[in-house]
Amino acid sequence: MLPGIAFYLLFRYVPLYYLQIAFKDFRITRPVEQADFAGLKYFIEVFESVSFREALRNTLVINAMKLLICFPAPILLAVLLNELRSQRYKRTVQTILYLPHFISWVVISSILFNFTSIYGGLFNTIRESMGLEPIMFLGNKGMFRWILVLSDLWKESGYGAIIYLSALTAIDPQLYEAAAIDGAGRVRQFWHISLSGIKSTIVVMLILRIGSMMAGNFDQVQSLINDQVLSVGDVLDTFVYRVGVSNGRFSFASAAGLFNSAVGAVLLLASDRLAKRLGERGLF
Amino acid sequence: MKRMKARSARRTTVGDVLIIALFAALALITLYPMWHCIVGSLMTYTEYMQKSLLIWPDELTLESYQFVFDQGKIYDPMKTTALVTVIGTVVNLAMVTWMAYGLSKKFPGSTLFTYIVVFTMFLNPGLIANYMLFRNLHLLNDLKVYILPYLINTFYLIILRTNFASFPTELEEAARIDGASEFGTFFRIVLPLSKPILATIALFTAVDYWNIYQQSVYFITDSSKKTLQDYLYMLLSNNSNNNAGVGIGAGGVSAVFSETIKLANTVIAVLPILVVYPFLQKYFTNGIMIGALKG
Amino acid sequence: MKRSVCLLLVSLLLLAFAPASLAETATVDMTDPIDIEIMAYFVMDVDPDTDPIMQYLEEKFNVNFTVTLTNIDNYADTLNMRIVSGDMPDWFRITDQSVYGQLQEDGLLLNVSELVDKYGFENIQATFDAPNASILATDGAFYRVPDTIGKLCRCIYFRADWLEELGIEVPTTYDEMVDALRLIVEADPDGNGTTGLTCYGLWCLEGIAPSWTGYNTWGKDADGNLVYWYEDDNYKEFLKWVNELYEEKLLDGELFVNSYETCMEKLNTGRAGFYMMNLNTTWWSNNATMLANYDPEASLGVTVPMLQGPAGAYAATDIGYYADSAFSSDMDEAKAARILAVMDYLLSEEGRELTLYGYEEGVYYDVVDGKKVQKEEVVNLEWGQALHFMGELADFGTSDMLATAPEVIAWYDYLDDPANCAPNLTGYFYNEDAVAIMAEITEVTTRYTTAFVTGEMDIETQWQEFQDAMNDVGLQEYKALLKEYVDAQDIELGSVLS
Repeated sequence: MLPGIAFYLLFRYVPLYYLQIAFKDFRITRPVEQADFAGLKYFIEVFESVSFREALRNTLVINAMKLLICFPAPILLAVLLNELRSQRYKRTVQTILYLPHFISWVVISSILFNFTSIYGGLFNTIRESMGLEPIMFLGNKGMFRWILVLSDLWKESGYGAIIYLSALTAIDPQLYEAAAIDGAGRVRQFWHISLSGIKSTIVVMLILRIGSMMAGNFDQVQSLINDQVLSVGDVLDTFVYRVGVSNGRFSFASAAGLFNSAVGAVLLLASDRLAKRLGERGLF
Repeated sequence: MKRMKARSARRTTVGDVLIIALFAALALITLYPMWHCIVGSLMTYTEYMQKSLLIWPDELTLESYQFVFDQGKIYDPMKTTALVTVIGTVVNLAMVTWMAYGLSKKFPGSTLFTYIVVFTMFLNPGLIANYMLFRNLHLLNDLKVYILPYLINTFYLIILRTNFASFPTELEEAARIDGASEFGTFFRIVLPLSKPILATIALFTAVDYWNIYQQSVYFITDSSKKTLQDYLYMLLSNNSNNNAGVGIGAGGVSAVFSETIKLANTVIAVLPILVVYPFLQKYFTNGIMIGALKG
Repeated sequence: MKRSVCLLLVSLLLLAFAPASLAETATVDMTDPIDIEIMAYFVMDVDPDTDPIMQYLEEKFNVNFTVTLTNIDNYADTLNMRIVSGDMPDWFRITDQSVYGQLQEDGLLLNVSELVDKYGFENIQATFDAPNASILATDGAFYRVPDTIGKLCRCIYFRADWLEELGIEVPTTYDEMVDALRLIVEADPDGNGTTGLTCYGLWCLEGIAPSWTGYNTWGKDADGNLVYWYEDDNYKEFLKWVNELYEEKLLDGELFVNSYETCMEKLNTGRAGFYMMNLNTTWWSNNATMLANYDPEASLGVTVPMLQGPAGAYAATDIGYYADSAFSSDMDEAKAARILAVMDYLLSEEGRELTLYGYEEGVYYDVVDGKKVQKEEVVNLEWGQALHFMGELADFGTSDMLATAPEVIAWYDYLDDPANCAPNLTGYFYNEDAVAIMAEITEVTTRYTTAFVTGEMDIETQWQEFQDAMNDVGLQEYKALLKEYVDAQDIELGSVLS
């Protein structure tokens, strides 16, 4: 255990020394010790930024949507996959399902752009054949968040299912047999055996997921964002990048990052407490 | 321990058919992006530009791959990445399982340790902080910088710990009664029973190492020590996010190809994983016996 | 007596008028080998041990190069880390004004002017003397060597064969262009479904905004006050015009989602008639090649001279410089002089030729009709682009020498006349507080201008709201800071039309 802790202390806690950048007027040309203390100045700059509130709101909303939609999907997928009886079919399907995970968002965004184009993109061709007007999906404020959520679903569900699949294999098959003998139908088996068997895994994943509500899938949003949908799609990470990092404003970026982490930690603790209340082991 | 069949034979039901159909549809949808990449990388750029949905190239060409390999410089990064992946996965796996096992026991201070560990997931001190640390530790431009700072992935640690913690304690008591030591229990009972989850973590870790990019960009200067992803990214000379669109550095052959080269890059990066995965897959799909408890 | 007085007078006269070059300039001593570390971004890896051009330079100047390269996206961060850790490279490019500002203020940059004067580096001096280069100096001295982007500037490409086919005259005004767009969109000559004008964002189109406002981005009103074009009613007219194009679907509805690659694809596969993007010899040949691959009969044209707008016809040139070379101040004079000697050579006629053609016939170039012509495949594969790494380091504009297409040459000639250009000379303004304010202003302008173009916000009724929003985030403070800079650097801004 000790080497592990040593690792953490060295590689994770020592660098935190630089968190002080958030509280100082940092210049890259001078060591951070020499920088003037600035107190909460940069935090205030972040909060007062014109786009901050929107970015915060978007981050929370989009992550909530993903929680509701993208979190259960891999679980369902895993359980359903488990029901497949042909091993070969199961393996092939599983392999195919996780493939999109390996494709970078940059490439996926160009595929999406292709499909959503108003000039003959697949989605709009389908719309036209149904008698509907073509719409600009990526530039449409109403659709943009859905694109973020659904493309994430498409890309990550298969890969995410792997964890649940392996958790499922730990369930004693005899339980299924016993249940079948007792007359339980497929659905009940599913509910009482499969799901509860992996319940602890699910809970842990959920807690971790809630803790990362402030993080924003920078890669995804950055590849898909455009000026038209900033008000609905800009998330904290892209906001900090655009306003802070690209302008070389280190203290600003550092302050924003610290704020995100703090909120994330609070959320994590809160959801852990909630889980414990409900009788689960929780994270700690 | 005997292996038993996962399920006793049953007749095929309507539910079965529905599920099969569902997965067929899902597979088709999720297969498309990869298909797009493979087919696109085999097309001429001119053809790629004109089509929206890709089915098969009118004219099969290897020009994108030729471009990537022609430079002849791809082999070093490939070797580096392969080396780092193998070593990294092994080391990482060892460290993570060891620590996860430790954390799964209740002992004074275990909660504190858990807090320490989990909070690192949120605290990101930034690039500069890491750079300074690595510099002081003389890790810069050294292959170790790919492995040492990432020895333990907290997320996987938590998953493994949860997994270990869910083992009934009777298991260990049984082993203890039989005279096994702490290590013995770990190696001979807990590990084998966790094969599926270990295989999962091994796969995820290997994928993470294979895709290393940032570290190569910022902390490595020798081109022979750069990773595959970094090298492939560099090949695309037109990646300017610079809104001024000055397009510095763009030009020549590569400007015309960049889209199909991106796809070829994706395929090259994914292929090895696709090759390795089937070997690990059996760990996820077979049933495991926990009958050791009985009797 | 008289004779000796005459002689004395004559010799005094001669001394008085002795040309400055008679003053002693030191020569660079090449006897000791020196290690030089260069840090830059480039399209591919450059290995000084195997690259013949680098080897040639190493031998010529008795130096040993180490080259640290990243791709352009990560360059700024990587450089920052080197600076933070106190480990500055000897010779590096600066892409970020704020980095330059901080480095220069803290004395970490070499004073290039001093050494240029001392050793008589004429070619570097020539870059200092170029028309707008003085804005790169600080207090009269140069702490970096300007790297020009050559004649790279936004222009409008169009399908010349379509105009011919449809019997349309090449437009000379923007009204004529709109008529042409209408005809093209209706006729759809290639049958692929075509839009009229495509581009990748409002930034592209702002290349023609000076033809409405008479200046580029910042102008001066009659009282000498600074005016940001987002405050200007003439710019408002421009936005209205863009909005009309958008509504009438003559402007690509995907302009905010497009990337320059998708736009190139559209233009060169018959899905757009006009395309607004940067033009120089490289981009011209990129587009021409793509188009030829698609349809050998098709042909490209460019709008040279620029079209007439309400305020005239202007090419919106950018600052003209990008990623200049700077040098660490932490080295002895011998080393600094050697580095500058290399730079001076690269900026000379001979040096530029070296970075375009190499030094041996048949390797990187052939002689065709008495002129040197690059071997494209070899150059592209080995160098990654038409200009060698060291050439780009010294002056990206060297690649303009490769221009052969008459359209490109006409464009370059057009840009040579300052009356045709509307440059934005504030691009090198740096002030820590100003950066923070401008970040906010940009957030506001992006939202509003995008909404005005798409019609989401009504430009007439909500223009004042836009002005208020900009002022709320500190536009006036920013202008005050900028005014100080403009006055100090003696920058001539264009005049705002009344």
